[in-house]
Amino acid sequence: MRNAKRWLSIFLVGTVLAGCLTACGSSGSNDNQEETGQTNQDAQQTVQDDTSENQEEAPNTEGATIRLAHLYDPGTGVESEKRSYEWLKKGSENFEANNPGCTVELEYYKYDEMDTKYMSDYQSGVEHDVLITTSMLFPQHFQVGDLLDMQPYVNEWEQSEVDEFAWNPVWDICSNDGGLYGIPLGLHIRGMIYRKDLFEQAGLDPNSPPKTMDELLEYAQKLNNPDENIYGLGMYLGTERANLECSFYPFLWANGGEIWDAETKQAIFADETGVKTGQFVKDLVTKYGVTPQFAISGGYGDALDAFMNGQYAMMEGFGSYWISNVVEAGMEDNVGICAVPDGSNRFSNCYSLSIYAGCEHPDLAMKLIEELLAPDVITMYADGGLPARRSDYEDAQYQGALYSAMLEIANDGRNVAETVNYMKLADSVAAAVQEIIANDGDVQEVFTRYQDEYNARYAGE
Amino acid sequence: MKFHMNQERSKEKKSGWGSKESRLAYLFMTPLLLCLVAFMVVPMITGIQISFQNAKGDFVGLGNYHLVLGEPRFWNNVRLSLTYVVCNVLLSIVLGFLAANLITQKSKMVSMLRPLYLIPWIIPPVSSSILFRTLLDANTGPVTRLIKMITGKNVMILDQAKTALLAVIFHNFWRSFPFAMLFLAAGLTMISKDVYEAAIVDGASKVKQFFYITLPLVKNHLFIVILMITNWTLQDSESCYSLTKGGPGTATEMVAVRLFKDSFVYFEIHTGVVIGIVMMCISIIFAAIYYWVTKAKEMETYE
Repeated sequence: MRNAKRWLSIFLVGTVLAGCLTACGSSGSNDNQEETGQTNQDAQQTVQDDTSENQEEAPNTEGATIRLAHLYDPGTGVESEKRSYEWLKKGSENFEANNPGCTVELEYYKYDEMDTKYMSDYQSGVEHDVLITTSMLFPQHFQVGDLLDMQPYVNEWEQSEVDEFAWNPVWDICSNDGGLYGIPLGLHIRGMIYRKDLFEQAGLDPNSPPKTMDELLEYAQKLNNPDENIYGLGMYLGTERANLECSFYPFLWANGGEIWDAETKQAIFADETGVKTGQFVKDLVTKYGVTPQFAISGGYGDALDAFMNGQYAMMEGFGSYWISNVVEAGMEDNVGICAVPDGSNRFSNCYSLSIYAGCEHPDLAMKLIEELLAPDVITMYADGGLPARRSDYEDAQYQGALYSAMLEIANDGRNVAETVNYMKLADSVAAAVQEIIANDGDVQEVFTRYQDEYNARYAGE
Repeated sequence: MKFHMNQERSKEKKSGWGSKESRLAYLFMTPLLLCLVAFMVVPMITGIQISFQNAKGDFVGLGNYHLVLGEPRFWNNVRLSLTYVVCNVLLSIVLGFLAANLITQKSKMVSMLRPLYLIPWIIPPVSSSILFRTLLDANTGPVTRLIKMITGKNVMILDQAKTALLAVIFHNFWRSFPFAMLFLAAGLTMISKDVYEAAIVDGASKVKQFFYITLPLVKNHLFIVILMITNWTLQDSESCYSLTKGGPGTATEMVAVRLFKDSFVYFEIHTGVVIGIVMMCISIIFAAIYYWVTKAKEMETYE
């Protein structure tokens, strides 16, 4: 019995030691992956060699699995999520049919966490292949080096095919030092949407939306009726980045301000223009009451729900990706879209398809991307807002008033601050905006505090 | 007599490091010790090492500590964490004690309801946070609507700094209360009825019974439950992040939430580790205080 105990304990110790040694071994191999991954330029060179020299030493792709990281959860019940997921499935099926033996594995990530996840995974040696990426976070991706240059592959395309995608302003955002790190899947642009029925009720001309900031406030006050649960100007001011991108930025840009100075590489949202804009947003909630205080909580999508339910007469930050919701609800004729002030800049972005720098089969990854971008497949994608392919605009469905208005706004589309710390900067501005409303704080003091805090860490990058 | 002493010595020898039984016991403990070293000590040392490096892995001395500890926002995080811990521990222990007294009563109704009390503790924290968020939603939440129906006012609980903090504290109390109640109830059932009967014979009032019998006899249970709830609350990032994301502004951004944001949202591991180390120090201070208080009480009792 005693011998049995002794042998059992020796066996247990041996098992743990073997486990530790195995773990060390696998972390070693991760280190190797990291090393190979970090030499991004070498990887790019490999891609060039592969494509130009007939892939003499191409890795064995038989039975390869391509992991496709995405953000679409069909279980949410949201129609656009379902349709976008169908698009992924269709592209994957076509890829599997055209590349026998290869399979596609879908990996879901939350939209506002996926890019950070790719970057951290890259640094810790976790593998992916094809990624859906967020355009405004490309500066950060460039710094980390987790994306592969797709330019050598695109060089193989027909010029007409390149032109189909290269018209998009996001194409430039995806480019860096002559390389291309993402292919835009559409064009997201935001404007102000308004309900014509509520305009008529308030004695306003539904075909004449406000054109200046003063007019916007005047209209919002006329439309405002909190007793009936109707607010003049709805928007999202919560903790998500949409607070800055869809609500604060349009007013700041209209005032001629910026949140970040590219020359000094410092946050500047507490300057005179920033404070003026902050005060305007705060007054909309606390002084005029045309925007409800609950705008600072919940999610970005809640603002759309409130608009569709008739709680908001006008809504700032309406995305082109929501037009289908309006059309499906049969509200197309009851709404109008514009930019206030007329001709002001609007944040434009979209999701893009990229290849992970640590991808084992970049050729196959590119083939999967091409399947997803095929003319009959990309039309299934429901989160593009505006179509990615230029030729798709000739389709009758994009000739309607709402799409035309959005396309017009898209002419003034622009990117957000191109800093590697964009997420932290956006969160700082969002938190500052929330605080001035929630605590009735002094705009100058609160903005300066958040700005100084950001600059103490990230100024000069 | 000599024979007896030899027997004692041989007993001592057997119970030392050299005896076969002891060696076997140490051998059995070795896998666990190795696991502890591999999964706790090594990551902790690596973490401390990372705290002295920048994002590129260069040694920066106390630079990260200076950066984090020099931020007013961080000290606000610490202040909120302490408020969160103190309020939650007080609420959970006081109400947990009262409830423990109730559920140890012999009543059919109490026995039937006992499993129900555990529901908040069983529900995963993220799920219960989402449940609370839905209930307290400022626009569509049933609680908000009910308050409006009664008072005629729009009370936006999660949209105001003070009420948001109260909501986060209440949510955590709601979760940790069943654990405190159950643990203390276990302690209460261990006290012999004879002790109380003797006290009644001596003419001790209910209050005196509580302070001189109940409290000293459940002291060990109380110490463990306070320590555990303190650590859970201090380290709770998931429920708070799911409920408010630290907002509005940074009104509910406790140290654990900040640690989560820095490490896993912004991927700034080097500063995240510094926050983690500070949090560990706070945990140790709390544990030391509780331990010291318990020991001091023990000494008083002996004296």
